[in-house]
Parts: sequence; structure tokens; C-alpha cells
Amino acid sequence: MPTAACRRPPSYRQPKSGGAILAAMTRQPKDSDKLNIPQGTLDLMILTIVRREPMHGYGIAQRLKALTQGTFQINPGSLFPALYALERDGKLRCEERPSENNRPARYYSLTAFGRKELEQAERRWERVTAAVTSVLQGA
Amino acid sequence: MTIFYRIRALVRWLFRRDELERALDTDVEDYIERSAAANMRAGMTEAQARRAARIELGGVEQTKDRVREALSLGSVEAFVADVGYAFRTLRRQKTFTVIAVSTLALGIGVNVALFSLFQQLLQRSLPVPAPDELVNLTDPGPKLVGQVSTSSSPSGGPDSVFSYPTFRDLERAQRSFVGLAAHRSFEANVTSGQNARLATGILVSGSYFSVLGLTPALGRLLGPQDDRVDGSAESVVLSYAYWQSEFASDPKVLGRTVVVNGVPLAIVGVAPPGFHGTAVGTRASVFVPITLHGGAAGGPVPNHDNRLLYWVHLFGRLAPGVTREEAAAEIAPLYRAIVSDREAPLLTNVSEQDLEAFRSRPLVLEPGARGQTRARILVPARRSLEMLLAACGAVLLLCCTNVAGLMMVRGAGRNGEMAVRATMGAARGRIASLLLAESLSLALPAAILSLPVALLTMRGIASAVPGIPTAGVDVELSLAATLVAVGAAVASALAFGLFPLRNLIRIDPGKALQAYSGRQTSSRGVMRFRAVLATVQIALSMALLVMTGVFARTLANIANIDLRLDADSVVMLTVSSTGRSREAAARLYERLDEELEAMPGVSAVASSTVPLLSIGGIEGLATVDGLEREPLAMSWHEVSPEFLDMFGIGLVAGRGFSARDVSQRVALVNERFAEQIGLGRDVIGRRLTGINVEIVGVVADAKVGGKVTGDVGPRVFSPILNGPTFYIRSNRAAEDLLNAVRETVVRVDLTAPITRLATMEQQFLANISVERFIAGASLAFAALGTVLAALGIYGVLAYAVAQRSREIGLRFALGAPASRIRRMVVRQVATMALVGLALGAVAVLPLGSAVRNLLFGVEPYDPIALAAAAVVLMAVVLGAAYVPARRASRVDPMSVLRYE
Repeated sequence: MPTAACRRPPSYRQPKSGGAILAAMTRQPKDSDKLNIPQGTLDLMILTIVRREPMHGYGIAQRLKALTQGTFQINPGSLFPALYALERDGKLRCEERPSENNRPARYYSLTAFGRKELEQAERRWERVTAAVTSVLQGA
Repeated sequence: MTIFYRIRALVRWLFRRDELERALDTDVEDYIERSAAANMRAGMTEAQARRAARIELGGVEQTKDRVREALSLGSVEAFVADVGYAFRTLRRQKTFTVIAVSTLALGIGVNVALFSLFQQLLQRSLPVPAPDELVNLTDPGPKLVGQVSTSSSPSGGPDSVFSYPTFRDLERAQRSFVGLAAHRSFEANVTSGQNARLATGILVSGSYFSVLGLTPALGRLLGPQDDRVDGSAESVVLSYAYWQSEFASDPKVLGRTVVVNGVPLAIVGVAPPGFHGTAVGTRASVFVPITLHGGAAGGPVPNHDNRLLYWVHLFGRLAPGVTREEAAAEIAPLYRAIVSDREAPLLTNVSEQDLEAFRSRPLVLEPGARGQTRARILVPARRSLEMLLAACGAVLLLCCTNVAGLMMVRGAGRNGEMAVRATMGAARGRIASLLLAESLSLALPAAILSLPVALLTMRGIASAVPGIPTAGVDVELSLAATLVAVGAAVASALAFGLFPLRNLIRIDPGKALQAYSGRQTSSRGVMRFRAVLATVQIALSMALLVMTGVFARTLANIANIDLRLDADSVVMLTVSSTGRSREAAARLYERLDEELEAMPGVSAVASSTVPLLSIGGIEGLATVDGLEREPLAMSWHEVSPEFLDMFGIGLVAGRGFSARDVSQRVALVNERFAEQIGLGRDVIGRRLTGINVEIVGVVADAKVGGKVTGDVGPRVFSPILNGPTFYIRSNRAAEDLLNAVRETVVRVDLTAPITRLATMEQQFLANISVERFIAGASLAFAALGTVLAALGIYGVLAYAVAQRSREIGLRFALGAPASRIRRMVVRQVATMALVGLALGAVAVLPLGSAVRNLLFGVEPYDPIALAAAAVVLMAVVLGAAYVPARRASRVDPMSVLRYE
């Protein structure tokens, strides 16, 4: 074994191939088979969820959970920062109205800008996944 | 797009923070409610359900924090948030904020005002394109030989005047300039429609405006077609300011006729805004072709034929690519040829030597970007402005140190806060940013407030400072001045923010937390420096207060001066005869005299040539026939026969004037004259040497002219029928009488400009304007200095008390009475005060000798003024010390010692 390797932290292993990268991404505590959510994907999923109808925070969280079938680990604590950032950036708009039991609730919906963003992102996502899939399949 | 949202987010984040927080609350609450409801449906109790919901969310506050963090914009936002925080803090500490902001506003304001004046008077280039290409022509060589005479003007002395034919010769022959231009200011009586105004006019050559490269605001400017024929002028250009004030910016003014010194001229255009002519310190209202016929301007100029009368000022614009040196080399031989071939042959009875010197005079080109002026006018102004500027710079520095002191007082109480911030992991940069934000939140409102201060200061200076030619000063704040204000504010924010910053940043969080209110957080050096500074400020205000006292006494003494004449219920009126022939002027004054006397309620009318109580006058030397002695310096007063009676100037010997004397060669002298000439009453019957005037009487000494603070000098009174200045005595109220007089003048002659219309009280105040200005200025500076000194002392003491609160608490705990604690604090100020007072008393010496000749009836080292100043200052110092002393005596031993 080369001496240089000895200085590496024990937990570090050099990935050898694409498969290894995926393996590294999925390397999580053994008691969980959930994935860390890739950057930017959460935004995309939120936009998709509210595309059909205005939804409140809890509803979005539930939909997320249902849609990903538990593949991704989404803490509601990280849902709200994303929601507010999207609202700030003008992709979501928010409307406050009384909920079923008469407390105020905030309902998020897509803006025109958000819709455009979503469509663009979907196209981009399709191209990327297609490319990645073909690479993975070709390899 | 994104930038727009970010800015909107920033604004919302800062100013609608409440809204954001409310939205967060709603969202989080709603989430927990729904999640808990779901959990309860799954069989949990309500408490369990809620707990589980909160856990699922990942903590309420944590979630909110993550949102806040996601929306934050990094260091910029942090700084802006700091500013917001600083504003909120400062709004709570109103007293501190008001004191600090107004101190800074004062300091910055006076500096901006001085800077504006300085820049306008001394540094501003003419508002023309490429002013650096302009050069002034001067001829410093000897020229006053033989029949040569010069006529100087505010634009320049004998070195910068040329004869008109020489100008035309040079203009034709030169090749190095785009053009040469001639100008000369004159006093213009401008009559337009409803009224007559005395204004400054400039005679300009046709090339004047094109050489300057100006474009008209309206119509056209004067050009070569306007100065073709010597002795004839038909057009006039108005200055923009004059067009605004006299014609209300009426665009239909073109083609209308104004009468300038009796010559009707058609208005052809308006000069661009901001252009007031090329003479620094004068403000021209009308521009008239230089070919205006001689005599119209009054005096010897314009004169278009005499080569030996020098009166026009010349400047030129260098041709492209020609340097000043090249132009000088080209024009020098041309000038020499003109001087030696055309001017020199006209001289007679001149020695060969003088003639040679006259012929070989060089022509010198000087930079002309700033226009032309007499050094004599600007040198004293520059000196006094530079001194004022330095003084104001020092004032700003003091303001900054004092505000720094106040901030340190606050800072001392905040060592704990800062220590906590530091321990909680705030980087030094963050603490610095917070402090800087606080400094700026003080300095920027101060910068805004400083602008009105500056405007008022400038107005005050422009109306009051003697010796500064304010005629050409625009009392307005330029962009440059505003930038200076903001720059000064930021610089001072850095300056006064630096002190506490240094102190606070050096805090070791651990130690400071332990000691909390700080055992020895400030270095002894800083304290000593600030004590010295406070002492110097006391000394300075002491000196200024003494000066104020001395000047107050001077003014009081002046008010009690016995003028030895009775000027009650008299108003004076001066009507200019500029532009009229001698006969026309005599007719005008005669009619005025009649009409004024006919006014209801008027009991007497008299007149004179030199206005009563004016500082200038006609001075000369006189002696009487048959005396072998040096002539006596005297002032010459031409007065109407009624003048002496009207002012109650009594006859001592001989006879007074009668109406018949006006055409006779007779005169009266005052007692001082009779005494100093050495003849006493025997002077009656003698003739004044050289002018064949017989002295027929001696009158009492009265202060009819010169400074009222001066002695009555030898005076000679000569009779005239009526002069340009009239005195009207009436029992009517002053305001009413002044209006009635004004109406009378307008009725008599619409074209006669009133140059002075005032009560004798106003004239008296004008006579002592220098004294009043100095008294006012020293009062202002003394007040400012005293306020600053009080602030300085307050800062030092309050800081010391804050630093020593533990020690004070301990003393209390050990049984010291409050009075002893107060004494302990006050003792600290006593040393500073005593040393300061002593130093200030010494500083009065040089100050006093500088102003000695402005004082009247009081010595600069006046014991009463010294004592009064000391008392006032001690009161102020003790007042400033009172607050911290009281605070010290109220220190709660328990709360202080609890930190141990």
C-alpha cells in the first residue's frame, strides 16, 4: 500500500466508477434506505405539487412524502425555507385564508414565472436524466 | 429579474419584517395543528400529538431560523440590519442622539459653508468651456510717466489695464489666440419700464462672448456687429440672474429697450445661468458694447481715442495647440512695437531713461481660468477664509472627539453586551460592522441637517463678514458642497467610531464576561488624552468667552457714544445721478429737495455729498494762507446750509451758512481744525491755501463721519445747494416715512435709482458693522466652544464614573456618604477646569492684541470680562459634571457588587 494512502482519513474511499459515485451517495446509516435529496430537486418537486391547486405547507409536505414514497428524506423543517425562498423569488405566491377549522392558513400557488421555471426545469431534467440513464445503461 | 426580487426581498426583510414573522407564525402553527390532528386521528392524545408534530417539524424556532437564514442576503444585509438596529437603539436614547447629531451637524455645517465660500471665491474657474485656455494680459512694467494715466477697476490694478487703441491694434495683429477680448466694469443706472436700479455693468468688446465660448440662454450674445463704431452702442445682454429678478424670466424681453446711464439699448439676449462676468467678486447684471460713448459711464472711461489712458482689461483664448509661452513669444514683439512706435512718441517732457523703461515694458500672459481680479481684493479674503477654514476644521475635530467620547460612555456600558456577542461567536468584523453602522446612523442625519446649517452660516458670512467680496457669491449649496458634507460625515463617523471600536474589539470575551462591567477595559492613555482634550476645550472657550465679554462691553460703550449731534427721527436717502450730466443731476436734486420738503409731517430737509456717519469720505490736506506749517490732514464735507442746524451742530464763533453762501467761496471749520492749525478762533477770516476759500466760522466738534469710535478729526464744511444724500426729519413713524420718501422719489423721477434709504439708527449700525460682526462671531464661537467643552467634560466624567462604578459601589458599601462620592467626581473636573481657565486667560493675550484696535473703551485684558467668563464657564463645567456626579452618587452598591 502506498504511504500516501495511509494519510487518508479511514472513512474515505476513492470512488472508482459511476457506480461507486452512486454508492457513495446512497451510503447512509444502515438503518435507513432513504436518499439525500439532490440540490434543486426539492424546489422542482414543490413547484410540481402546487401546479394543480393552491396548497398549504402541511399538505405539500404530505404530498411530498406520498409522491416520493419515502425515497427522499424531507424534513418539514427544510420545506419551509424552500417555500419562502420560492416566494421571495416570485415563483410562488401566497394567499392567506381561513382553513377548515377557521384558523388562518397560507396557501401556496404557482405564479406565471414559476410555471415557466417549472417547464424549463422539466425539460432540463428530462435531458439530464436521459443522458445519465443512457450513460449508466451504456457503461 | 433575480436582482429585482432580491432587492424586494431585502426591503421586505428589513421594513416588513413583522409581516414576514407573522407569515412564519401562521405557517408553522397551521402545520402543527394539521399534523397534530392527523396524529390524534391515529390515536394519540392531544399533548402527544402536538409533541410529535413539533418533532416532525424539527422544532418551531429552529424552523423559523432556517427560513430567516435562507432569506438573508449575507454581509450586506447584516450591515443594513445593523443600521436598522442602530437606528432603533438611537431612537430610544433620544438625548444622546440629539446631542450627538446636532454637534456633528454644527461641525459639518460650518465646514461646508466655509468650503463653499472658499471654492466660489478663490478656486472656481469661470463657467465657460475649457477655461484653462484663457490667459489674462498684463503689463507690469513702469507706465506712469509723462501724460500717461491709468484707471483701475475691481478686475485689476494698474498692471492689468491697456488703452483702447492698443487693444484694437493687438486684436488685429495677433495670431496665437482664437481671439482677444476687452472688458471693463462700470456702475450702471439701468432703467426699465417701472423702476431704476443701480447695477454693475460690464463694457465688453464684440469678441468677449465668443472668446469665452458661451452660448446664450435666450436670444443672442454680443458679437462683432455690436462694437463696430466707437462711441455708439445699441444692444445690451442681460445676465441670467438679472433677467430672472427684474424681468421675471420673461422670454418676450427680447427687443425691449432699457436705458443704461441715459443711453437706450435694445435687449438682444440673456447670458447663460451662473455667468456673472469675468471679474472675480463682482456680479455683472448687464453687458454693454465697449463702444458705448464716453461720458455715459461717468468718469474718464470709456475713452476710445486716448492712447495714454489705460483702462481696459484684456484676455484671450489660446489657439489650438499653442502654449502660453509660445503665445507670449509671438505677441511680445507686437506689443513692443505698439508701445514704442505709437505710444512713446506721444510723450513729452520725459527723461531719456524713463522713456527707455517705458518702451521696453514686457507683455506678460497669466493663467486666466478664474477670470480677473485685483490681488488686493482677494488676498485678505483668502487669508481670513483660510483662517476661518482652519478654525472650522478644528471645530469639526472637536465635535468628532466629543461624539467619540459620548459613544465611549455608551460603549462602557456595553462592554458586557459586546463581550456576550463575542462569546456567542460574533466575529470581530461583525462587531465592527455594528459599531460602524451606529456611527453612520449618527453621521448621515447630521450630514442632512448640516446643509441648512451651512446655508445659514453662508448667509451670515455673506451679509456680515467685512473684507470678503460677497457680491459675486451665490448663497447656494453646490453639488460639490453636498458631497463634501457627506464626505465629512463619513470621515467623522470613521473618526469617532474608531475610538470605541478599538477599545471594544480588544476586549477579551472571557475576561470581560467575568468582570462584566469591566474592571480596566479602557487604557489609561486614552483617558488621559481625553482629559487633556477637555482641558484644552475649556481653555479655548475661556478665551472666546473673554473675547465675547470684551466685545459686548465694546458694543455697550459704542451705544453710549455721544455723537454730539441730534439725529433722532431722521431718515436718510441717497439718489444716484449716475448717467446724468451735471446739469441734469442738479435739476434732479433740486426737484427732490422741493418735493421732500413738501411732504406732510416733514419739518426739515438737509443734504450733503458724503452720507452722514459713513466710514469713507473725502480726505485731504489743508492749511491756511499766511501760516508756515505742514498742511493738516482733514476731511471735507459738502453740506447744504440747513445741515448744521438740522443736526444741532452749534456755531462756536463767526457765522453759519446762509442760502446765499452756496455760490460763494466760503467754508466753516470745526474746533479741532482751528485748534490743530494753531490759530483758535483767529482762523476766521483766513483763506484755505490753494483753493481761495474763506473761513467764515467755527462749529462744534461732532461725529459726522468716519468711525464713530474714532476721535473727531479736523473737518472743513463747504456749502452746496443740495447733494445726492438727503436727510428728512419728521415726526412720522420710521417705516411710514421711509415708504413715503420712496414714493416721492419715484414720483419725481422714475429713472433715479435709490442707493440708500435708511433711518439714522440703521446708518449708525452700519457704521459699526465690523465691531458687531466680531462681537457676533465671537459670541457664536464662544457658545459653540462652551457647548463642546461641556460635552467633552460630560463625556470624560460620565465615562470615568461608568468605569469606576464598582469602586464607587464598594465605597458606598463601606459607608461613604453620597456627598463624598459626588465630591470625588467633581474633584476630577476641578483640576481640568482650573488648568483650563488659567490657560484660557493666558490665551486671551495674543487674541486681545490682535483685536485691540476694534475695541472701544475697554482693554483686551478686561477684569470684568475675565471674571464673567470664568463664572459662566465654571457654571457650565459644574453643570456638565452634575449629571455624572449624580449618577455616581446613585450607584446601587448591591447591583454593582453582585457581579463580583
